[in-house]
Amino acid sequence: MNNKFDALKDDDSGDHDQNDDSGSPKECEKEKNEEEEREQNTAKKKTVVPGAGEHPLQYNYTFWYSRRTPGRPASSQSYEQNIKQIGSFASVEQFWRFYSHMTRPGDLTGHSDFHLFKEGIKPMWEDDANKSGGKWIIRLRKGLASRCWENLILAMLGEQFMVGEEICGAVVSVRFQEDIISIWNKTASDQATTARIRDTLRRVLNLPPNTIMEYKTHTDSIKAWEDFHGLVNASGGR
Amino acid sequence: MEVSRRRIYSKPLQPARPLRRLNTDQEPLRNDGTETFACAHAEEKPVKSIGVDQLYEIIHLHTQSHQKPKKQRISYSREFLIKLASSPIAKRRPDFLPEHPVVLEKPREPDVSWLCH
Repeated sequence: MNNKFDALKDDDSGDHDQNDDSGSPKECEKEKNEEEEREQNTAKKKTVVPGAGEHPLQYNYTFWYSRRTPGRPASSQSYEQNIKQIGSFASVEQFWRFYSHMTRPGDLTGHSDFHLFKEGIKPMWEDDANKSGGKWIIRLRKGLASRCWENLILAMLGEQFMVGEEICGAVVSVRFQEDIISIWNKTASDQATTARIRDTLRRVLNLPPNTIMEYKTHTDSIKAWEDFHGLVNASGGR
Repeated sequence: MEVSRRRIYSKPLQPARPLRRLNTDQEPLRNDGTETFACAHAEEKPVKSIGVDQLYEIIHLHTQSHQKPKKQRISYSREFLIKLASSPIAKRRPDFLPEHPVVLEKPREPDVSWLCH
């Protein structure tokens, strides 16, 4: 069972891993987490504005970071508890202030993710902005993550995707043998939008020609997680 | 002097003349009624229709000018964003930064490879 568990996990793409790590919080847990977060938010003061003379961005964004805690059974922790807010910004200058004070994804070790989402959207399938959405996934061989991640987020912050309000955020997932970057959008069924995002990705990422791009709806991700979760239960993992 | 003054006085009346001529020209096409009836009718109608046209034009201009700022997005090229990374303000530590293994004490130097992408 353990081998199966690991195989499934390695086979997984992007953020789905994170949810494997975690297990979807049960209803009561979810409420508790939301409460905790509300407290955190009010304590942190939520609204960020561009400083005087700075270059404003179209949207405010929030950096998040998550990492699988080694040694603990993956399914026993909640994804939401495992993910940490690093900070929010409203201008290009503020973005660089955060970014220059963070480890580059290529220098991360272990099973970890950076998320950059529009302020107010949680990097979770369950968020209202994400629940009918999906993501483009690009798997990268080791060594490319930092550069690709930077190109991806600069295109997002600079509004290069030209799909209106559709973009939700971006994720870079550092894994054992590969790294995965993905970009999430609101409406998985909107083919004009997803095609445009794909074309923009190809243009801005400067990828090796044989790179495979895959679109996955969050509904499919949730279904896969639920199937997987059933397996965990059957094996007594939870 | 006197001549020029008279000219000025007479000027405000001038625009009315072509308008009346226009009305009477239009009239036969539309109406075969008596001249007095046609004139009374014509004096009102074209004024009204111009007003409506102008109104639509004004409304159209207004809606356009209101929509424009909404549609305009703040976009930046990759090169421009990278250029701003080297400004001194971009290297200042954010006021609120959690203590975390991925959070650095001092700013990293921007990667040189960016510039030659």
